[in-house]
Amino acid sequence: MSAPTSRTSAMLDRVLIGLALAIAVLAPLVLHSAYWLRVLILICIFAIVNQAWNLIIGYAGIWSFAQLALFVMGGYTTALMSLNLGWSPWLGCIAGAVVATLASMVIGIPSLRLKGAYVFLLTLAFHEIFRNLFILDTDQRFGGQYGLQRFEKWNFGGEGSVEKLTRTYYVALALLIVASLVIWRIIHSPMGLAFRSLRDSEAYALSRGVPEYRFKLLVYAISAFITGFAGAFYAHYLGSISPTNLDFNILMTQMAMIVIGGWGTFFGPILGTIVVKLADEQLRDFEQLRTLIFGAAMVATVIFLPKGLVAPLAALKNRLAAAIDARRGDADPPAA
Amino acid sequence: MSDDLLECRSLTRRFGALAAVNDLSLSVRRGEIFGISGPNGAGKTTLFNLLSGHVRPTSGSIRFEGREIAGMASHRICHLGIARTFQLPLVFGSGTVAENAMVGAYFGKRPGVAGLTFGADAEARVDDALRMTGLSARRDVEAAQLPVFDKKRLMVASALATQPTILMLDEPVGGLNHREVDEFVALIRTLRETGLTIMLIEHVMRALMPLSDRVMIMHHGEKLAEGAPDEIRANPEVIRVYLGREAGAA
Repeated sequence: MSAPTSRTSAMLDRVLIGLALAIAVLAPLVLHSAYWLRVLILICIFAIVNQAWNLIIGYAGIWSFAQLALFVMGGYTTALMSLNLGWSPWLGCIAGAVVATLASMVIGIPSLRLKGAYVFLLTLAFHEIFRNLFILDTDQRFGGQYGLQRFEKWNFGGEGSVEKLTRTYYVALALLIVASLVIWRIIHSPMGLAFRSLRDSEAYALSRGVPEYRFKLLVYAISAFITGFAGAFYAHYLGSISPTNLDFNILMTQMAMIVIGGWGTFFGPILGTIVVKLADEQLRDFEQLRTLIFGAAMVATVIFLPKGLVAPLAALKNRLAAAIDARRGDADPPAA
Repeated sequence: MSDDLLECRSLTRRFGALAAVNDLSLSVRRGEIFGISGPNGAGKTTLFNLLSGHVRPTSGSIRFEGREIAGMASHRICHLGIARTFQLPLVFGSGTVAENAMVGAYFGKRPGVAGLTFGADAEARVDDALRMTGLSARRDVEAAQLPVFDKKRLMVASALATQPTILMLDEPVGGLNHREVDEFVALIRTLRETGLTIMLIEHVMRALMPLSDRVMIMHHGEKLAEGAPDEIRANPEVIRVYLGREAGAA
């Protein structure tokens, strides 16, 4: 996070990020198949959702489990706008983001006076209420159990499914990069300092002038805006949105992504999304057992790698940086 | 009266049947060190919690620079110019030493919204606070890793970074060794020379007595005695309840 880094380590960071971006950009050329492109697109969308979730859970320490509800709300909003009012998908994405933000205020305000596990219970209840609202929707305004279908799908041009999916993938990747940059900027601004200090000790932060409620609502709003936008983008990618997106196993898989990747770290959620989504694809034959497998993997991560898979990778990088410094006989004094 | 910076009138806080602070009145003068001591459970920390807004008073008034602050939110009290430290070392653990001070420097006087950058002014306040408390060399260390002495100094640094008018120190030297106590006493003296008004809760008499201009002894949430350190040492009631014969004679 903000641990002291040597110049070599910072340079290595840039090299690694550049490398990761190059792989992300070149991946469609190597994996020239519709199947892999669909996996990659979903990785981008879920990584955005997890980055936003990590902001509120990892950095602000607010145990909000309304994340998928806000995601799906973004999807339903744009679907309704598209079906009833003929709005364009991008306009629908903005609407989805705004509606999710407003909804997050409805969740955020009552949860302000709660702490830890109680926030988890309240937000999970919100998730369940929301799911039931859709399933039990008897007059079919929201399409009931089947959800909403047959609204506009993304069309970024191109001939044939692979070419079309490749373009959609690049748009999703661009959105992931933009969302990550925005979150990076927030974490390293006074806002991020307020979130982290409130997470570590509310009494401390309050006594140093940090207005608690204002910043808690702010982190709800920022996280929900990004999440709602991603949900709307997802709905237009599938051309459908339904309450099955709120199933418990999906919530668990999503949670496995940030826990296994490493919450409270910047790259953890992205890494976790990639690892868990790829594993999810490889383990398709196990069907329902996958939730159990990810649950066990989560427990193992919490015990053996509390800071997630990024922690050993970061340690490896720091050792590499130290080795480079040593070989160079660098005059830089070692950090700390 | 204009010398009174902080004034409490009939301040009371009950927790159920227990009156942790009971009908307490006191005034703190600008520029002085006001010492507070008394047996465990006398209500000293509750008094600080009331003054800093962490606990709301059951009744009574607190006036700071002529303004009523009883029941005001902690962050607003900080913005007005009252900063405190805590009895148990309380820091923003995952943040570095510099980030801890930055919380105070950036938010300490800011009622508005946060910007995207910290700004040179706040950076300068961080540097000053760390230099004053002797933590400059440790600015990049994670606060949770610091030994107790440094954590206690860091609480002072982040409080100073808010540019307070009153600094409230809750047992700053408790749990420190002799050398560290002496260093802390020197730090508090330096702070007073900058014109800061200090309220000091302390059990360690060798720190409290030489530093304080006036001392208040609390007992069962009430004021047992108040006066110059020498008067307090000689007060038979204080000796009976709190100091004991030996300390009183010292």
